[in-house]
Amino acid sequence: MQARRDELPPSVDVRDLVVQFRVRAPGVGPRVVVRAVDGVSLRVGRGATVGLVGESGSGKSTFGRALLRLAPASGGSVRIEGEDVLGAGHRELRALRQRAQMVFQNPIGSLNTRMRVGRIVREPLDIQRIGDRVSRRARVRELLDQVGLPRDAEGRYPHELSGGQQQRIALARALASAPSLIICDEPVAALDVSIQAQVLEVLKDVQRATGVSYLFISHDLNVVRHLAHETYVMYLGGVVEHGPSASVFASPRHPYTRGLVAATPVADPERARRSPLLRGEIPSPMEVPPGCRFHTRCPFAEERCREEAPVLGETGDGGRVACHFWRELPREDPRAAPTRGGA
Amino acid sequence: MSAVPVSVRDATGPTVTVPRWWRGLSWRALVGAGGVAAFLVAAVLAGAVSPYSPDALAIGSRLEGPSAAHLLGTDQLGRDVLTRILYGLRPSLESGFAAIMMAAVVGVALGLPSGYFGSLVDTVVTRVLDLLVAWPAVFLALAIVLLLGTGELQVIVAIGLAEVPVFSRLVRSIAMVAARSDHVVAARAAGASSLRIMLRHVLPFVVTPLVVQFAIAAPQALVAEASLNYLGLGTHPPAPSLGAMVSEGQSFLAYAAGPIVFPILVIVALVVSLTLLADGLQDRLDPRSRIGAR
Amino acid sequence: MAAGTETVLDVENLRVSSGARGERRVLVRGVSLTVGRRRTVALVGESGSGKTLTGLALMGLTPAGTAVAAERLLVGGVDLTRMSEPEFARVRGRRIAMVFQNPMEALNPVLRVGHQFSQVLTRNLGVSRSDARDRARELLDSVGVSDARRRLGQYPFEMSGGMLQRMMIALALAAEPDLLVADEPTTALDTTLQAQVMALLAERREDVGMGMVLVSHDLGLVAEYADEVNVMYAGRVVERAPTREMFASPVHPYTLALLRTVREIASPGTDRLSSIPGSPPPLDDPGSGCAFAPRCSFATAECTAVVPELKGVAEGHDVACVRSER
Repeated sequence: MQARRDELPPSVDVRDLVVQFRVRAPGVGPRVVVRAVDGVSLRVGRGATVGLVGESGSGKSTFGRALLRLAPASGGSVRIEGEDVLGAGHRELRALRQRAQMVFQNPIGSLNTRMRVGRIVREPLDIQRIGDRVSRRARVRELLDQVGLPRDAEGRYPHELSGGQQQRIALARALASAPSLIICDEPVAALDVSIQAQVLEVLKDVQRATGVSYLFISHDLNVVRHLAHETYVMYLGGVVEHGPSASVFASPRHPYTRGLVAATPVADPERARRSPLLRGEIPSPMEVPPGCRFHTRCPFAEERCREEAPVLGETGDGGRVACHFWRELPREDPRAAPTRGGA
Repeated sequence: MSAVPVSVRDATGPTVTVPRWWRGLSWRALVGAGGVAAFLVAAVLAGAVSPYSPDALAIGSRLEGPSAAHLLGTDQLGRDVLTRILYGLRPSLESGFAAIMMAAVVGVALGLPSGYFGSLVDTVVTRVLDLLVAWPAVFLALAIVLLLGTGELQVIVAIGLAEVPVFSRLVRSIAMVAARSDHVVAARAAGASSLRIMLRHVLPFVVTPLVVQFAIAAPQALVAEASLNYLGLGTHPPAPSLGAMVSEGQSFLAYAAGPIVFPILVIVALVVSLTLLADGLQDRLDPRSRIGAR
Repeated sequence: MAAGTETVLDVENLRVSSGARGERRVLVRGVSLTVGRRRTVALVGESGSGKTLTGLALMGLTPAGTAVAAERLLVGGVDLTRMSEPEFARVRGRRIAMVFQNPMEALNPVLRVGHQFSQVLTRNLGVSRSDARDRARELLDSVGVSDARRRLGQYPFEMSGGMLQRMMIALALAAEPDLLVADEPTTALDTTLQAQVMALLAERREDVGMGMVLVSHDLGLVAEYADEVNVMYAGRVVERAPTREMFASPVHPYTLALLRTVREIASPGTDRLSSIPGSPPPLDDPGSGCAFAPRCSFATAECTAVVPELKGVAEGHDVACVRSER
């Protein structure tokens, strides 16, 4: 099984994806082309969970949507289980959409509140004409079980259920057509911690049971570290760091990743208060800085950073980083020395 | 093992149980609904209630005042005014309803794709509707009558057409919002076709405001229907119609007020009932006018 | 006046209810808080715990149809419970100010920011228009907005969320209030900005010499920036302790479970997250006895019978749980 999995093409394989929009600048500016995603390559193996982190405005959500052609890609390639998405015709695209699904941040917003839960979960089966009436009903029951929803949820409306349960419905619907990949766009960001844990556990259970892979898009480093085997860090449309989650978060190489890690709150008052390592804010995607796109906020930026864009290069230990000076940066990290103590 | 299943009952926040539709209706709505229902029953039972035929002439008793035999008196041809009002309600209610129905159907057919697709479709639909709005409703009606001749159907088309832009714009604005919501994106991700998304995922959100708009448009349509009949563009005499009765009674106003006053009172009562009902429905159904709606 | 006392907020048994007389529903069930000058007291809880409503009640800003009652509500020594709405309105923005979760919604989108600043400043500080302009620039300076003149000429949508929140903080603190209620002040912002804004709030708290009520769902944030933590559940405070004590030795099963979950998510090695089963009850219907009992792994028959009261377990550490009473 394991061996065969490796031979199969990955769940999704993205090469140099570019997504651009023509937008009008605030006020009455001229139309400009904004590159929300600027040449991103990413791969999610079968049964794997890959994290994609970054601040709002990094392009991570647009990237996720572009994989299903829900945002317009203007360059690069996307292959889901080896099949081309961007060049697919109308019919092929519909078939491809069986194999990759999405779960959104706002659970109630992503559900049709005028439909009962059973029908919401069954809809992908109806659309794709999978099975007959009887088997679809059975499949809905099975899916509800799988995500830990009680049977009687089937006849209810989404607003009668809690946020955590709504997110389970969204997951059940995503699983209905037995996809190979689910793109989770901030699936637990709108939920309370105690509910977050429930939903994260369901995600893991479902993965163990079905072998589905996740592209997990989130701004929450803790959640991503917990769930993802591998993590990509995006900034202003480009990937700045990539590697196994353990090393990306434990010893971040890119100054931006360091800033993100340092800014993540820890529920421990004994630890030193975090100092805002990153100054300022992410620039507008309409004004991507030349050279290294991060140099405007980087505490270590030098002349070269303003002129020459770094490429994503191997670090030698399984990771990749897009920084000219990652080798020379000071080792210690504001968060690296936990002073766990006290009573 | 799946994760801890949670009971549906302990949902967060105040659980919103779908209330019976009438619960929370205001007294206005109830009075309005009562009035409308009474007129509907009267129109349906016209034949059973009235001892006279609407067209029965009684030359001997013309322009009589109210009496035991003729509760609301008789008109210039000796016809029973009450009977004619009861029969006249039918075409009024029928054409009013049919006209709004037509406006709603056409409005949805235009507004839904207009709001959902946006861009070119939207531009075309919006321009066409602008053209329609640019014409005063009466000229529109006259144009239709000129093209198709007088009659009930023509009245329906004229009123319906005049109401189409209102419905279409309403549907468009809701469809625009719904089309950008995550649940529509989710449906697209599941491979649903545009038609399916419009019918299953956008249309349901249009229904409630549509009902409200329906109730708002009803009294307008009724008045329009009466007006067109008053102008002689609708039903052909001697078929009774409230508008035509007012128009006919006008010449004999000096001799008897009944044939003109009673139809007018009925029109007013019907319009007030419908307006109250619309008002109440709007309060009940329109989330914007409710506090704390989430 | 307030200068003599150290306490800037003293609330006793604050209650918020909604609905008409016939079917009045209680939402916040008796919250008591004390905030000292230059101190930050946090209200933490999940959505539906009543924490935001409590914060709004302090400001007299609860939604229409709700009623607020309290035995005592002293801000800077002034009793707000005895005030009429016009009197209260004069206190708001001067003695007591608020920073909201979403700065974009807190500003009028069609007016230039500078205009809104001068409106508030002329009203709250009683200064002239031209003085208000100078003051606005000073205030923006104090929150680290460098090009104040340009910023004041902009509309809210031309600025980022982080910039707007800085401006809102500047505006809230213009009259140097005794108390600031910060309702999820960084929840709508990115993590990297969160650190900046919280650092700014801490700094301004020292300069202005105010007390702060920090309403948040984020235990990590609270751990770093609060002096005292009040954990809320279903409209009540279930545990109150100095921050260090709360995180080192929590007592209430709800606090315990929350902290465990947060720490498990944050530590890489955890295989299985221990989640709290179920979800919180509706705010207006917490059930009988302890509201947490249905989700509590320690619950006994006693728990569903009586509502436990807040009782001291250590210096400054109160817990509302029958288990802690033994």
